[in-house]
Amino acid sequence: MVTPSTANPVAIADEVRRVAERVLEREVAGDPTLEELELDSLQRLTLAVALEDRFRVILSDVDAEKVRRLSDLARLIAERGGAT
Amino acid sequence: MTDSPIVCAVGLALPPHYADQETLARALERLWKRQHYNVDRLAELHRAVQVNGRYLALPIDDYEALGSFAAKNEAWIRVGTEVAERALREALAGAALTARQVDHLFFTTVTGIATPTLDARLVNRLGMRADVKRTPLFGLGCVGGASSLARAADYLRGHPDETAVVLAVELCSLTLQRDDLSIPNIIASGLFGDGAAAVVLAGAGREAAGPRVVASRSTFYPDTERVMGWDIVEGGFKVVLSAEVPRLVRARLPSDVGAFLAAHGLTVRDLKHVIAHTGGPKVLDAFAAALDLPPEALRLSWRSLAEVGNLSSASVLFVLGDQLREGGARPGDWGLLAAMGPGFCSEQVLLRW
Repeated sequence: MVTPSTANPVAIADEVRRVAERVLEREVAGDPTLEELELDSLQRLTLAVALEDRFRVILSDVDAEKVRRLSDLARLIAERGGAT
Repeated sequence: MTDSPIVCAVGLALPPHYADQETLARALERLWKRQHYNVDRLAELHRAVQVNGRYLALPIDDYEALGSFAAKNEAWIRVGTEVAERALREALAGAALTARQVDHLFFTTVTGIATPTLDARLVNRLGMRADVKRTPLFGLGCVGGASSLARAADYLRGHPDETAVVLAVELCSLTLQRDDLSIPNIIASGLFGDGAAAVVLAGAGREAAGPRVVASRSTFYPDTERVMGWDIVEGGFKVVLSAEVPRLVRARLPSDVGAFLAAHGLTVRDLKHVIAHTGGPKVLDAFAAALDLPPEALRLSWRSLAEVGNLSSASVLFVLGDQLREGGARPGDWGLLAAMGPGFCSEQVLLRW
């Protein structure tokens, strides 16, 4: 069982970026905001599915309000004990 | 324009088994859970495509038993022939023609294969003439309805005293790969529906009423083979559907449409009617943005998407049928019919009422 204390935030951040690149079919550099990624609603949904599957966590609409950048997503997943 | 073929009538047919989007999502839930962590996302994905429901080739409970490509394709031939016949009979009735007056039958599909092709089966069912010419076109996908319409019009320019029929039959539900739980397949499972459309066209030498096909233009986009299409797998057709599609529409459509219209001394502002392949919400949004169209311009495409889903090649012909019935076109109006599909490519058809 992976707990928040054992989750590795750096590894999670790297993996979040890789998942985003796979979903968006393009390179994602640095720590962009979701606006900078120009995600439409379906892409946001697809990214959420991919991240939930990869890290075995649930991301809610309430979470979405707290997320500005990919690093926010990684932090949220780490808090939930997302497995790397 | 006097040598331009005329669109006389459109016939549309849907299979009888309607299922709303929530019912369809529930039916897929058990499969989804095999691979995906959050089951609620399935219904969200199905809602996101803005389709209210689909008409299915088979009762929804029959799909689970359709494992092999052979079983799916057998159902495709059986149901496809039925809906094709209905669409064709409706179109002929609309044009006040008999099946024996058809000189050339163009048939397009991407959701099943058959030899003899379905159009041959219809020659028998409807008692068409022995010298009817047949042109089956497999693999054009979503652009197939527009392309077949354009090719039929090309043909009629050389044979102005003849009558051609374009027939598009797509039973997308029979292509669902139950073991493919990728997002493109799940989106496809929420987006694509089943149906058939037939369009009767008359050469300019015949007495007929309706909009004329003034011109058409095909545009091929090099090195975009993986944007959309099928991978052929043991279970049949596995969808290839890239997130690139809306971006390609936004990037290419303005210049492609602008150049096509300019060649005929027109601009987008001259168009009174835009008949767009229904694609999906992102594609329709991209289409409207690319051409700077007001929201109501694609009203019939949005409505068709919501009511029956994306019917691949048949979709743009469904919208054409709706346009002819209720579009309120007046003599002299210009219209553009357009679709994009695997290749990746686009087909534009310029209409004048």
